[in-house]
Amino acid sequence: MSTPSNQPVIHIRPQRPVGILSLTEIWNFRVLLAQMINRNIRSRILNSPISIVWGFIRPAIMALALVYIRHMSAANLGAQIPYPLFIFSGLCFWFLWAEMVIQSAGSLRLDSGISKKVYFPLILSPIAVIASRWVDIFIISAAIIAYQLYLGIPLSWDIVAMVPVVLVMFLLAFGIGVLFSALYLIHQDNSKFLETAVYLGLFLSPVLFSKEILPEVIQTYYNLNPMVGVLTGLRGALFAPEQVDWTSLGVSAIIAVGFTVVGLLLLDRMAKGYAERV
Amino acid sequence: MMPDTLPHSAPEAADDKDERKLVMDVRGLSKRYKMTSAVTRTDKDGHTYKDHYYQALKDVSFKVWSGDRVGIMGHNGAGKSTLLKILSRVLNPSEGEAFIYGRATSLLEVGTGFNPKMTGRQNVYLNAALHGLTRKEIDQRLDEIVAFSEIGRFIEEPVENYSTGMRARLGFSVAAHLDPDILMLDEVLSVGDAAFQKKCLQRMDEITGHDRTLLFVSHSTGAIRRFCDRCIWIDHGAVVMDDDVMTVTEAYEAQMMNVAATYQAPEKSETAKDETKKSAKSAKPEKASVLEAEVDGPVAELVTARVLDDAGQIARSVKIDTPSAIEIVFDVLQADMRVEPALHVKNEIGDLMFVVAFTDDEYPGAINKPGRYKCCARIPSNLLNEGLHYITVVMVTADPLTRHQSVENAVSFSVYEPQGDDIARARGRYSRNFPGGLRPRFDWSTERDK
Repeated sequence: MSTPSNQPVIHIRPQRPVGILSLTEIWNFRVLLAQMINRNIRSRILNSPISIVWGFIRPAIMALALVYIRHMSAANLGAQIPYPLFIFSGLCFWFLWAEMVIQSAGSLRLDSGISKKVYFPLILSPIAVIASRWVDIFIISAAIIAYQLYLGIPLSWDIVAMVPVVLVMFLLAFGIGVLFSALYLIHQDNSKFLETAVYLGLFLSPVLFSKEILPEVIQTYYNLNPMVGVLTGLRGALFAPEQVDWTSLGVSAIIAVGFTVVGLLLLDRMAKGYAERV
Repeated sequence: MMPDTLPHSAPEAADDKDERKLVMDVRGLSKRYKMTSAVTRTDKDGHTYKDHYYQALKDVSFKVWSGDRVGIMGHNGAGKSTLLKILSRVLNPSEGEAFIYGRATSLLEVGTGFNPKMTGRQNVYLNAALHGLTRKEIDQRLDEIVAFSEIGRFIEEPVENYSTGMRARLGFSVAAHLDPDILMLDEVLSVGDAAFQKKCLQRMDEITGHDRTLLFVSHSTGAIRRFCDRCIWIDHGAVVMDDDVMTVTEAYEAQMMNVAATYQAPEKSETAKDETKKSAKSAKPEKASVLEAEVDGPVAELVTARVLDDAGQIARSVKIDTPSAIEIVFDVLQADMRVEPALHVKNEIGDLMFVVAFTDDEYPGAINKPGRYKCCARIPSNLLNEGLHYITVVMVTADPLTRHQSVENAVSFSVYEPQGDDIARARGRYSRNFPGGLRPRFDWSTERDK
């Protein structure tokens, strides 16, 4: 049979020939991925221009209320830096992360109008959601740095640690997002669990308090909450008085990889009957 | 048949197809959908079992060579869209496999993924990337795409400000410039205004010329005849027929729309003849003014009827721009009845379009001697519109108006439009379907009136 070998061959069969993890396929679709990231950024700004600054306006408003409550109660929440800065930075990053998780989990459904009509690797949807959020990291960090300098908290070379910390943060959001995007395909009700978990996480993670105030028994296992490593890491990188807890960040990274692997495997299973499920 | 045991190249690939490349090799594709409700079925051995599945495709196999223009047809729910979705990779098959060699693009809709907030230009990039174009390729084709879409300066406006037609035009324009080796199309051609459709059809011809391969899914025999040279008929998820486009579409019409180009009177015994007479009487004529034959025995009887094309061959489909004919053979059984045939022509949905009276000069007083007669009614070219036509043959006496026999839908045929000169086939510059039962070509003349 004269089949030209230099031409692309598409092999269609019941089992996906390459899993969803295929880096080659993602590479082949890089133009589309770039366009999807581009679309996500543009459409968010065009849909709601305020979303550019909303990433730090909302935390600022919430921080104001919480600072007032703390002031009234005179509670010690263990922050080594001024509490308003502590809680403002915590809320900024927490909300960004939570949005990334929830949006990447819903990304398959959001792109179902496309994926029912044109083939592309499904994994591009959550990747594009996560990757389009790099802009927010810069905007939020700029706001936090401006505030910390105003308060007189210096920056240090620790800021370089932002790179690995942000990578872990993104990977963690991606892993949980992919896992839940697959669970959404099983049943849409799974979104309720994710929303509740993310909401609870706000109070279980060191957003409003420092982990130093926790009882020692809990502190030992506290690193198993993957956002502990991320949040202490972010604060450690930005504020000179705080330190990046590399052990904690390492645990976060391992958990993030774990979520990603499990999420990808589950999504790979679900992708087979994808079009019928969405 | 196990897919593995299939020969690597089909036997029919022998002669001319050898020079053309195999671009699509579909082997035993099946698709089952799981249902929430179950149906109880009985297998060969008499065991009953619950069937939770709906079989949308059953063991579909075919091969496509480069340059083929293949139509896939079937009625709604026959499985043709499932097949296209599997070949587009948005659905996974349950069994079987398929190979596609070359750059394939599938258009299940136009303008997929258009984001309303983004400008036309930005959406062109997104949509083209979705169909696998590189950034460089899009850059090169952008001007052409914008020009083709006739969007003009709206290209810098958000798509949400577009009219439906503009959005469709932009989407089709991208689609028309993808230039794949293999193009798979669902019936997306029904977009845009008439002039734009025309442009798209021309573009389709351009891009599906020479070495390009087209796979076109439709339930309209007209569209398939216009674009394809080969047709695969799918029914209940299985391939019924895979052959030359005219052969398949005619067979499809014959079965699905009861199109029959010939009529043969059933062999009758004496009693049966009586019964026919009775039933002819009991079946009341449509108009009260038509009197029943007040004579003994049948007066006239249709023997055969046939639809002939311009070459005199029996034809289930005739070209719109060539003449055709209805040939009828009938027996006149009683003397001095002045019997003559008449034709009632109905369209696809059964509306009576017109009645043709017998006007043969050679028989001025009509036929009044018993015997067998053969009439031929020639239908001029460019008279009937595209579509199916059902002919009822009636044997009448004019004065007093008496209907002796009426054979409902004795013959039928479809009128189709081949590719060619648009002026000659009364299409002019309009690309849409023509409404109405007729599509005559009038003799126009124009002069400038100062």
